[in-house]
Amino acid sequence: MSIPVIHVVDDDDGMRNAVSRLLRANGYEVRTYASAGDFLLASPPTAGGCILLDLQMPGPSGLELQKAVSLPVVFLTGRGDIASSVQAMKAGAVDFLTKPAEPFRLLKAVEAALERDRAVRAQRAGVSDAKTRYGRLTERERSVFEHVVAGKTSKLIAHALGITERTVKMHRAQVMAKMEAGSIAELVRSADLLKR
Amino acid sequence: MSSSLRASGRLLACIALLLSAAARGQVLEGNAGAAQERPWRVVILNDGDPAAPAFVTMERAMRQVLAAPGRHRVDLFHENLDMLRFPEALFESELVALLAKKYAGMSVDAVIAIGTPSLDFAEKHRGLLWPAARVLFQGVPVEVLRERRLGTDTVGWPTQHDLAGVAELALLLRPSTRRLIVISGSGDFDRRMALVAKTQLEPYAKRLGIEYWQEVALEEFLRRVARLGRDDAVLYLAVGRDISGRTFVIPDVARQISAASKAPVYGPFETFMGQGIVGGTMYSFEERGQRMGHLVHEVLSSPPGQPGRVLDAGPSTCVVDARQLDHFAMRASDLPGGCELRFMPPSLWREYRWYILGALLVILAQAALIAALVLQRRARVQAENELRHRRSELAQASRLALAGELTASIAHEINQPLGAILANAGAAEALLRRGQASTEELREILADIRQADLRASEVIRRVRALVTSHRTERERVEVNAMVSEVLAFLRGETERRGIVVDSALAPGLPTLLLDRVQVQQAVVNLCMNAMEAMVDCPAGKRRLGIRTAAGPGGGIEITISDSGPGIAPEHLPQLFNSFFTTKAHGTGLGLSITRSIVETHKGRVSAQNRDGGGALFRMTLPASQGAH
Repeated sequence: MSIPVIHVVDDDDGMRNAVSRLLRANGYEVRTYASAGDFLLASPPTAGGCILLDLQMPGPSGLELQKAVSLPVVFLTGRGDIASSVQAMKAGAVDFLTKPAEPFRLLKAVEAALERDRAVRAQRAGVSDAKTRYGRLTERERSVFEHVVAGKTSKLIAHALGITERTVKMHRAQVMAKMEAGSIAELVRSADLLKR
Repeated sequence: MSSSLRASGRLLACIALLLSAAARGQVLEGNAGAAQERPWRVVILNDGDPAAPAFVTMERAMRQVLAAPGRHRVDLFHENLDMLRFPEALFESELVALLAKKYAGMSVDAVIAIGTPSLDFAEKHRGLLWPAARVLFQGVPVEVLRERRLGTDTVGWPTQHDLAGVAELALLLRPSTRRLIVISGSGDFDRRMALVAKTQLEPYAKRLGIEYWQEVALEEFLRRVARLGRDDAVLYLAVGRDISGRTFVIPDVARQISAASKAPVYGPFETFMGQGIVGGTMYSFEERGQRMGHLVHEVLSSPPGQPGRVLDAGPSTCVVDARQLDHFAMRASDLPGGCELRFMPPSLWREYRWYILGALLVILAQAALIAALVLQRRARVQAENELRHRRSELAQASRLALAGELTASIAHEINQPLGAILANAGAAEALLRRGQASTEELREILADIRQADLRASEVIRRVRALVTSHRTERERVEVNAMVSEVLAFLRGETERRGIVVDSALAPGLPTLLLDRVQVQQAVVNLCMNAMEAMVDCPAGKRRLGIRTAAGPGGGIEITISDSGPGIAPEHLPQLFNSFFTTKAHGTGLGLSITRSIVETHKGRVSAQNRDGGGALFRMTLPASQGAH
């Protein structure tokens, strides 16, 4: 897994430099942008990370940029009015800091954002595994899988599918093996991931 | 033209002739009528010079009384015996014959005899010449009358000279007087006067050395008086004739003697007054003329046949020439009571009273006008000061309000560098903690902190400069620098509102003498107004344009434009009025204060809509006096 990158978007040179310096000193990889447009025009981020975003900037505002990106966002603003902070939090901002922000709070917010990014990435990784495994299942095995995760017994499944209970148990063993599930609970979690 | 004038002159002469003929006819008719209507015929007998001032004064006064309205008409006849020059009465019989012929067949009602010879003549010849006439007399010395019996129907009053009074007056006015010179001529009248003097001045012989100068030529008199000293006084009685036989007008000699004399000259006759004498105790000839006029009426209104009688002499008064008092350094306060002071030096007031009053009036009016103007000016200056004070207070209040409006952007402006400082400090800490700090990097961090700090304090300075009250002061201002400062001040606000500022400042503009803070306020107001106008514009289309350019006549023009909806045409005329606003929370003072500020600088501000949409405000500031 690559090192996460923190994208600092702020039109104020002094602030941008200071924040990036703070983050680098704390061991983070940092990229800086003077405007939302600059950020969008740069090559889309591949590695994980987060955005430290100034709310008011010439051109597209921080809130507008927030809607366009998938990375978690920490807002840093010189003027924290209630309306814009509520809007930012509803849109999924990790935190909403006002300048001047204490360095430890800034670092905590950045860490929380990176944590969320990691979680999202992990989840995203689980889903794709589950899909690969699911692809290995036959048509009959997929039907049995649906019934099993719905909590039905072998007997009921046999009755529903019009096959013998013995055949159901055989398919069930195949599903468990192919989905790499050690228990019914694990199988259910895979089913959840597939639904996403 | 001239012939017509001559013709009309001739016509006038004819009319005058006709009128006078008619008048004569009336008189004749009157004579032919009742005796009651006949004018009284009065003959004036004078033994001296009929042109003598005393006689002229007296006769004028008498005629005035006789001619008074409502009185009986009087016809006056003059006969002059001229005995002053022909004393021997050589021609008396011839004169009587002439007069008898002259007055034959004419009834004369009264004869006025002036002087002793006249009275003698009248009484002696009245039976032959004027049988019906009463004889009235004056000018006869009291001494003469004492030894004489008057005939029937003879009445008059004596002349009683108060020469002692004259001597008394001389002593009063100059107590140091040791010698009194008494001057008289060689005529009959002159000699009589000398006799009177010798009698009356007898008591003064002990106190004063009295010298009688008589029987000399006029030149000798004049030579002698010129040698008189401080302790002398002159009493000039009369010189009608001198030893050489030349005759003189008596008051004229008074003038010559006064002019020549080193000592003050006094005299017994009113006619000497004004000739240079100091004064004397004397009769008023005017008063005596009037008295004679009344006596004529009184006597002719009463029946004839009255025994002769002598009336009271009448008052004589002290009369003094004020100019001579001054000349001899005498004091008017030394004069006896009831003394008449003549020829008071005409004071400016008496002479020019109306001019003085007029001038005073003009001066008063002027003073009043000046006072009124001064008061008015003071009131106006006060009102102007008050107005300036109020305007400045209003501008100050409006700047505070503006600062309040801009609080959010000001906070942002300050928080930005504060945030940078905090982050930089945090970075330095982290580097030190990890032991990764390079001196170079720490130096950079410190430099950035310093810069951010300066930036924050600059924001505070700008806000304070706008908000703190200040004295109205004009200073040389570079308009472009001032506009840039305004834009820096408003940066937070333009960012917050997502407004793109488009500034174009012309280079090489002259500096102007301005109140920097006030003009900045005016520009800020116009910018805020422009920004407010663009609230409803879509983001990205909010543009604030600000331009400077050289204006007419060395002035500068600042234009501020927006991309808002523009100004409704009906609002244009009242845009700059106080309390006019289209905003829900506006005070309506911003533009009004802007105009007031610009007009204080003798500039103009106007608003218009732009062709491409939006409004444009143009502010012109004229060149300052002596700008360079």
